Amino acid sequence: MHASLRRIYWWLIAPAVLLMLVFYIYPLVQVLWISVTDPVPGLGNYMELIERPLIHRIWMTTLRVCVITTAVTVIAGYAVAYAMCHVGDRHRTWMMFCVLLTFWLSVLIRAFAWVMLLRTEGIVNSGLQELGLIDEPLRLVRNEFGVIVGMVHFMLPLAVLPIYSNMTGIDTRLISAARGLGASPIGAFTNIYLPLSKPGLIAATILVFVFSLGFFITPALLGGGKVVMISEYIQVSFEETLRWGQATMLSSTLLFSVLLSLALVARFVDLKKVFGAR
Amino acid sequence: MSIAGFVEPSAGQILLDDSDITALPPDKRNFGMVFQGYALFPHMTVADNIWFPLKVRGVSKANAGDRVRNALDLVQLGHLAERYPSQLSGGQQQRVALARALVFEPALLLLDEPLSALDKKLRADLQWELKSLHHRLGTTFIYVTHDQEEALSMSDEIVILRDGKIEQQGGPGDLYEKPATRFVADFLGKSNFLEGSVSGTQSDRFDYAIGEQTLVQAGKPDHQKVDGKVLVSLRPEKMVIADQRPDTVNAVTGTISAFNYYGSTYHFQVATRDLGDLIVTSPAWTCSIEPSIGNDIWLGWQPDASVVVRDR
Amino acid sequence: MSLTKTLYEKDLYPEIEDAGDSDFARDCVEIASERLAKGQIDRRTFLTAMTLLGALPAGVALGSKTAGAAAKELVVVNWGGPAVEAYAKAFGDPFEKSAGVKVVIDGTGPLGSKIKAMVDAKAVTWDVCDTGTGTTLVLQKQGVLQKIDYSIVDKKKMQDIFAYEYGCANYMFSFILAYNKTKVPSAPTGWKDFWDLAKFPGNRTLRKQPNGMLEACMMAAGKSPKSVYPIDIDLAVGKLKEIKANVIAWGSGSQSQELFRTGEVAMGNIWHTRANLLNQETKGDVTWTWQDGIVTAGMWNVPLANPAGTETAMKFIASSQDPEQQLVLFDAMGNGPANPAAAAKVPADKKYIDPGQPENLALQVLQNGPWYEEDSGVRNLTNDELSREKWLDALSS
Repeated sequence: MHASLRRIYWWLIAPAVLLMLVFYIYPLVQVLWISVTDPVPGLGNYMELIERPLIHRIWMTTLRVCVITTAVTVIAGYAVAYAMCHVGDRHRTWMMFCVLLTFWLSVLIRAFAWVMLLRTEGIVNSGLQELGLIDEPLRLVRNEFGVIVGMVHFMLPLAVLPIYSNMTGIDTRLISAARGLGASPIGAFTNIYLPLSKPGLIAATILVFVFSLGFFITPALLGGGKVVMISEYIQVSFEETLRWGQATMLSSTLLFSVLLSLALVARFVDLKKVFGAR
Repeated sequence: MSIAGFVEPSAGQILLDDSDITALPPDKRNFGMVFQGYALFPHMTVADNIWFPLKVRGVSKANAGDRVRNALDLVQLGHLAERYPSQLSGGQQQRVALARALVFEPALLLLDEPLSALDKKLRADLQWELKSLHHRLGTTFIYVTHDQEEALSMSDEIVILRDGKIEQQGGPGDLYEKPATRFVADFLGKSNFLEGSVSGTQSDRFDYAIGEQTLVQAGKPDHQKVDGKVLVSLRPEKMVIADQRPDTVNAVTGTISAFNYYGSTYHFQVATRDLGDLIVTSPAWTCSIEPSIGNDIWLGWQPDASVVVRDR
Repeated sequence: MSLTKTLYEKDLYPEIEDAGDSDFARDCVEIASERLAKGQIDRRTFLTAMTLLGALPAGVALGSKTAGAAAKELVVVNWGGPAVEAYAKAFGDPFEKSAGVKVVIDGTGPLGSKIKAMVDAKAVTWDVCDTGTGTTLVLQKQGVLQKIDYSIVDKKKMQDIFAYEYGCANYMFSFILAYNKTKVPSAPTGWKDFWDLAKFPGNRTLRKQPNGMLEACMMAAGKSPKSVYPIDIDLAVGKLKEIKANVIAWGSGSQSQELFRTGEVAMGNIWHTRANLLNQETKGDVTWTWQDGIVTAGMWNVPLANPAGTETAMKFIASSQDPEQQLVLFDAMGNGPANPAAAAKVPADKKYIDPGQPENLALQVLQNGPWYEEDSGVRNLTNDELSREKWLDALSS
């Protein structure tokens, strides 16, 4: 490429770069800066990560909820995507509609719907009692269980879509081939289908986990105030207690953990391939 | 697909030697299979692809080593064991598919249009290879193809299916030389069809008339229709083409309306008064006529050059 | 301000405004909005407020306008919606008449973080802010507020305890024990009953923030209303842990109301305004007792370097102490008058929802702001900060 031509290309993307710098990089740098300067310069805010049991607890809650949510969502999403790949066109359209439907509902409505279903006097509990399966109503909401139910529901499309798009690219003749060569249905699935759907699984896992880390409203509403995740605590630190040093420290840590988990995954898989950039 | 076990037949039985395998799922049939487009597993190396049928039969990778290597050597791909399918050429992929289908010494090898994705020259090469492999192994191959030439060249026994029913079965020579039906004659190679009314019968031959032309055909006037007509299949290469009336029992005049040159042969389209348009092929280097459109020529053939076929 | 934009998730999820925690001041707006929806306040009032909101979306735009015109205009910031009109009518118009300063009611919502951001950026565009005791305590520790000038503002026109150094009472409200009659065997009479899971089974709701809850814990632990302070934080938090399995925490007023509506809780320590709404909509099934209630105040704050100047701001606050003006706000929004002199002027049929009525006050504890300000002796934190941390820790454990 001509040097002059290259210079023109740089000029062409300059506005985008500038936009990123001003509206994305600069605020990020500011966040990092505040985390080491407020209230006093130094790494005092980061020491709190080690020193304060409350922050440990919140981090552990966040990780636990995120890991469980991710696992359940990806498994459920895989099942849904698999079903979508193996039903007729009409059913597939309906399934896709139902999966996307949750995207269009407000977080509040979704959370409230779960409360109505899962509360002590809700349909689920009264149904189970009527069937004689339980004597006392189960605590299904306003706790971690409820949070995970709500989050899985929220995240499901994020898992279904990448897995489904990956699965549609799998040549089903390969399964026939495996069967013809002597593999049982389960053998064909574990040896051929599962490995071939791995890129979709990894993309879904990353998406769901990273999104879960920043979750806030659903835990706040369905957790009954008892499932405090990192984002909610950032909000409390930022807005209620005005401890911006702590808030920015937690934000930065959250950002780092996202980057770290991506880096970890990248060691094992080609992320560009997973997300279709290659 | 029914033989492989992917589609359950709506009626009938499938027997392997003497045992009924109709209800057996594909993985229990122990058939080797080579699929259209090969269906190599893209996430496995060549060696692992070939190991796969052994793996699902409980053979560890270590124990399978020799057999995988032998299978690779059989198809002359020993040096590509660690490549992935996407790094192979079409012909190489085909050979891997073959090795994979053979590695577990199957009772039967099913080949579903195995060469259809290859270019003509490569296809010809692999046909030789497949044949010699078949010769060495002695395993029964069931070879599905839509290419009649391939069917003729590859087979010991051909079954021609039409609408799910067997039309004719036999060796390639039998099917080509003695097609039982118009469909078989038309499907295997090219053929001219002559329909005429039987006008006289002798012990080993009969006469039939088409328009004002009377022709002689060896054999008996079988498969006569209700109106007494018979159908005769005449292969294009079984006619002689000449400037003068040839020394054959049957001879007609015609005019060249089109021709193609193929290097080794000429293909002519000849318009005749009573027999309509006929296709004629002639070895190019012995062709005695001037190939040009509008040239008036003679066509001739012997009574046993053509066969009576069923019209259906 | 870009920091605010980066971190503030409410920008990403507009509905979070409803999902998140709220101060009482904001909650009053919500209640009034609901009243509008039910036709209890007139549409014109609401529309005017909305127009105002649309015309004045952010304090920054306002600030640039007022920069040169010092003391000709005073910006009072509250939580928007019907509160814009109500504050204009109750406090704005009278002050304009008496002082000749135009009062602009800005409904942006005086979040503590926004006030701090303004002061830090030296771009203060707000003069007087309608916040709560919690925000006041946090902001004063951050050093972004001006001291209340009690030579202008009259301490006698409010409960003495609500005259903070950096903020003073604007109105009063209470944390009270609300309960659903259909879910309790008998009417609970105080926090001891609230903690008695055997006698009163079922879930309860407490606030996510300790403010207003610690006092209830202390009374449950056996302290008399008079000896609630100084609060023993560990003792109070221990009381929370006792019943935690049966506690669902509320963040915003509407959440506390929703918990009663869905039947998830039998009792709760909630704002009296929400209890009153529940009482109306359940035809008396949900009711409350003033007994052991904790009275607290909505606060006026003045940010450092406010554009209209300290004196104008203080004069506005002083003007708002007029009982008649506070009654107008009480009528429109339900905020209990801060000035004890207003209590007698509350109409007889409204006295039951005024926490400041002498007979109601007698049953309750006045929240002790100064205790919250005191140093806790732990990591340089005030009692307010330490108790927030321990309360959250206990809730989330």
